[in-house]
Amino acid sequence: MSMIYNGVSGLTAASTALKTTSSNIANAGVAGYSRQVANFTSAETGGVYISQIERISESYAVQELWSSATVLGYNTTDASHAKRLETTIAGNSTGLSPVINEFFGNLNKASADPMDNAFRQEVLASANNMASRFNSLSNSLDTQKNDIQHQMGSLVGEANSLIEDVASINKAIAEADTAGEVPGHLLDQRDKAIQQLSEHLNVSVLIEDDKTATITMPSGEPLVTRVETSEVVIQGGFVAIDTGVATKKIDEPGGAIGGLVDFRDGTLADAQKELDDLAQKLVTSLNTQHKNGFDAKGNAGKDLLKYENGKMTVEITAPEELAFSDKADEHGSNANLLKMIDVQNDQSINKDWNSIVSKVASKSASAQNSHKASETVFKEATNKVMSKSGVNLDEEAANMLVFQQLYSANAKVISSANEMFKTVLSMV
Amino acid sequence: MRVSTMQLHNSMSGNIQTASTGVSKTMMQLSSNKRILAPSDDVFAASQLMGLDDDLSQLEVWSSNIKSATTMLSNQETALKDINNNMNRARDLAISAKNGSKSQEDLEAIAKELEQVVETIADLTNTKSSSGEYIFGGTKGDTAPIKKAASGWDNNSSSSTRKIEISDSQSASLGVTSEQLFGSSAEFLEEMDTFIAALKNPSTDNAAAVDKVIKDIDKAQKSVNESITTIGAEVNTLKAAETTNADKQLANKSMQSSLEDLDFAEATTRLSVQQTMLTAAQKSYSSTIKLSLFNYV
Repeated sequence: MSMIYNGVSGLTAASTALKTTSSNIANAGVAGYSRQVANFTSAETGGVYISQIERISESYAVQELWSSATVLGYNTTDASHAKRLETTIAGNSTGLSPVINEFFGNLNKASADPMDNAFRQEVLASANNMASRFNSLSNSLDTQKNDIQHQMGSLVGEANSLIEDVASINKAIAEADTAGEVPGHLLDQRDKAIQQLSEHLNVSVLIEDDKTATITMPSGEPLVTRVETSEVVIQGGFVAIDTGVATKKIDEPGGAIGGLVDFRDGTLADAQKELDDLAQKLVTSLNTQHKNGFDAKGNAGKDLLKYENGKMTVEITAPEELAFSDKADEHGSNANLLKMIDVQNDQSINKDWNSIVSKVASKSASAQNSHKASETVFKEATNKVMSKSGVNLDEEAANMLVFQQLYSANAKVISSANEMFKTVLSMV
Repeated sequence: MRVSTMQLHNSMSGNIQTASTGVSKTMMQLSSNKRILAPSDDVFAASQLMGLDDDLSQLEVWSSNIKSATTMLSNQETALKDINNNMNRARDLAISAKNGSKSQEDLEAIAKELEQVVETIADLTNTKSSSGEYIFGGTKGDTAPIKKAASGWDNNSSSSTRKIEISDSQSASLGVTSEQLFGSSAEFLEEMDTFIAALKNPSTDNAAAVDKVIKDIDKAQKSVNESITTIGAEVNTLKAAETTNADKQLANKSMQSSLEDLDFAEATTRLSVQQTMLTAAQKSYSSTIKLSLFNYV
């Protein structure tokens, strides 16, 4: 009789193994699916049974994937915004160099014939060009800052829904754990949600004894504890964690959200500040010099430009009001004009602008390099996980053959035991 | 190492993507003939290029100033030569008045012609440029330099001319003013007027007046000729500056092109290597994807 039981145990085990294989084949294309292996164990009776359907996953490799996702998330937002800023600032049709050179060039040309209104018109036209180019550049930087705020809002929203996902999967896992075995797909789903959350924020993950995941910020604020969740909020432009009891500001949120915060307060804020300083200096020094001069009617010079709240305007509309002369009664003098021309070099206007461009370009270059490097690290981490947990169809095909043969062999055992039994019976 | 089926697909499609990114970047470089597509491609070269760009636009402005200065100086030169010719004429007329056989009527005629010569010289000194500026007015170019006054002449020009930048270390003086030519009260014209009055007056000793006026004319001509020489020297300086400017522009452009231009031979070779790599990646993907044990089960 034990022969039949052995056969039946083998038959059952083979069919369970085949079912596992079929599930692996069906899920071969699902990202984040961890392959399952049926573990055969010998029974004391001589039969066999499937002691466990093992979900193949290496927690160390998975943790590494999550932390590489955090770095990649950070560098992706940083690099894409740095590239955008670089394109804005360095573009020939958006940068300041051409209009600054045009303005001072026209001043210089006017010095040959300072009373000629045609030259004066050119000077005013290029001053207006310079002001409007500056304003549109400054607007572009403001727009980028606003876009960053919006992007932060939507990423925080995603992070919160991922936090909720992890908590609800935690609940299902804890229930399944109490009932017996935790199904692999729940763990896969949770791993995937944690990976996405890691792309958004730098989080620490701890798997508890009841198989639930505890997620905290590295600075200790809890995001998920079993089924309890905290909410990520934006307060005054900064990321904070609202635990329901208290709200705490996070200085370094990391991930894509941290990348946005750091880019906004670093590269972008620096560029905005330097641009503002440059405009202020240009306007102040030109005005000071212009007011030292006398216009074509012998009147003292007024303000040529105005810079207020990040906006540059040309204050003079009549070309005669340009104060090029140094004496009220010598309208053909260019002595004050020559000193206005000197502002370009004395105040290192072009050098300052070029240094803004160079800084942004080198930030962009290093951001792109870091992005490439973190992409490689992320790919390697992904490969490590996939190499361990991913389905290989050739392997499954071979397993399928083995389990089919196992099934047939055990069926044969049962039928031959049956034959033997019949033979014995017929002898009676 | 164990490789999962998805991993194989991912890594092969990743290879194709990397190869095609390379091809597309090289194509962009080839179509723009630029090695640097964004400053971050080569920050150091890009910052040099920005400096060179600024220098070039400065050089172009100086070149335009050199042209303006040359035009202005040549206008003055033409006018000064005409003034000089008229002074020669004045001298001939004065000498002819010394001839004792001239009747008072003849002298009156000479005086009349001299009056015209003086007026021409005054007109020439009041020559205007195409933009309406008095070319000998200096920094007071909106006022006629020479004006007949109740008694004598007024000279309204400034005492010096404008200067304009023509290089980082040089500026050009835009010629001479009528004050520099004829003195602050246009003495020469007054001296001519005195002479004309003497001719008209039958009781004056013409010989002495002629001797004096010849000296006056000589002195004025000397001043005009000196001005012509000064202007000639200035024009030569401008020519030299223009040559230097053109050389610098050329050097600047060749430096720019060495920094940013694409090495065409290298890029085309790179493109063909990248294309081969792309084709290889695609071929290996399409042949690997056909391999499966399931085909044989």
